[in-house]
Amino acid sequence: MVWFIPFLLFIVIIEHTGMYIQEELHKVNSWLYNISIPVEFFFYSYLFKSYFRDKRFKKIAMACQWFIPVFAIGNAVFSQGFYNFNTHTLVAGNVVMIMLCCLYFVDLFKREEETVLRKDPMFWISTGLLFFNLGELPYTIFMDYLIVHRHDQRAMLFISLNSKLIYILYAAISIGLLCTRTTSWKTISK
Amino acid sequence: MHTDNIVEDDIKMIIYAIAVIFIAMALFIILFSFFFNQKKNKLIKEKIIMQAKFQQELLQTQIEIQEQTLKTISQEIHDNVGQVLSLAKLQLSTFPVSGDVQSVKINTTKELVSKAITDLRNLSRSMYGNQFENGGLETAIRNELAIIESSGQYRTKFSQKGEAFKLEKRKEMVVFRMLQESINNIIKHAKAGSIEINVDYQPAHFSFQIEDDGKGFNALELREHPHGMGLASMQHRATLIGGKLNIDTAENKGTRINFELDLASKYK
Repeated sequence: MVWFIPFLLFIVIIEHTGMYIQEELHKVNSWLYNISIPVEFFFYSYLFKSYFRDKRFKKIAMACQWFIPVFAIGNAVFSQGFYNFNTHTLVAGNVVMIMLCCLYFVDLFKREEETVLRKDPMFWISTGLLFFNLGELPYTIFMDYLIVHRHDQRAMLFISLNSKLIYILYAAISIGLLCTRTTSWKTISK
Repeated sequence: MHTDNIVEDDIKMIIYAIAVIFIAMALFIILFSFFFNQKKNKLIKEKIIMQAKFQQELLQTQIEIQEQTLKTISQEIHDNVGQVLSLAKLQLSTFPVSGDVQSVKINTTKELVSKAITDLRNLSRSMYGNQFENGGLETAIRNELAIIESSGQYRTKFSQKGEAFKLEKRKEMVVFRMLQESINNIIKHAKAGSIEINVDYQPAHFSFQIEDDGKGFNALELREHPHGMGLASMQHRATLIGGKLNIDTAENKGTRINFELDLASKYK
């Protein structure tokens, strides 16, 4: 969890840089997101690997952690190219995240000790990721079609869907981080 | 153009519909996890309570078996060994005496046999554990200390705070056995010169403290490498009646054992 703050800073820098490239320099910024998206999925996979108790799930998370960057590089080099937005990487990442979130809930069910979910940071992060990735998956699946045929629809859908899902994702992550802080305070005060 | 708009709207609706279904699925998974976890926590709590209850009953049974065994041995000592020694003393009294040397030897033997009878009687009474049924816990403790002091090896002191009252019979028995165990440990291991017992009777609270000036011990080391059942047995007994036992000791600094019992405790 200690790497979360640097990760969030990384996201902020990427988003601001992307906006600057598009709005100020009037250039294509897809290449920036082709780099940042695999990094995001790599980080989230690492987080799941750290929190899984079941050894098999840890191995699956580790495999996913390295599958995503390899897939991204392969896709950029051999399929969609580095300067076009890599929708396949996004779809693969969405599916991997959905799978890891479901595995986390299964791992949670298998625990033998009492767990208070609302105080578990990873529960909130998994909730946010599940909502975000499941909600975005239909859009990312149709993204290629929309890019080729319906530019205006793509922009509208992106704004209406993605922005709302982003709020849910980062609200859940914020609650998760607050849970961690509360636990730390209680440990210190003891 | 009109057809294109319809197709556009259809695609938009399809994407929205699928997204809504997927989000509903996510919501279902989260809610299911939440309620499943609550039920699991409830079952875990019930399991912990049942395990604690089982441990209690197991401890209770162990202690009852111990008490019954001690009573049986006490009766055997009283009925058999004590009787035999009494007969031996009687026989010695009828022994024909034919000189000063013989007389001294017979008297010494009679004294030794009398002492053996007294010691056995005390041991039997101590094992039977019914002393406080007649005189109360403090009488039983005083008797124990008197037996120890009569050996000439220990100075003993007993003090009481507050007005004595009867605890629940089972709790009194357990407290008495804990004190006996402490005294046994002092005699066996402590190499002490004095033993002091303080008892405090308060309306909602009972406590005792037993202290010796012996060689003490390393409590942490003993906890990690226990040899013998004494301390563990005392802890078990304390837990059984809902009390707290605290051992304060260090090497060459003596030992103090504190026991506290909340009389409003839920343990019965």
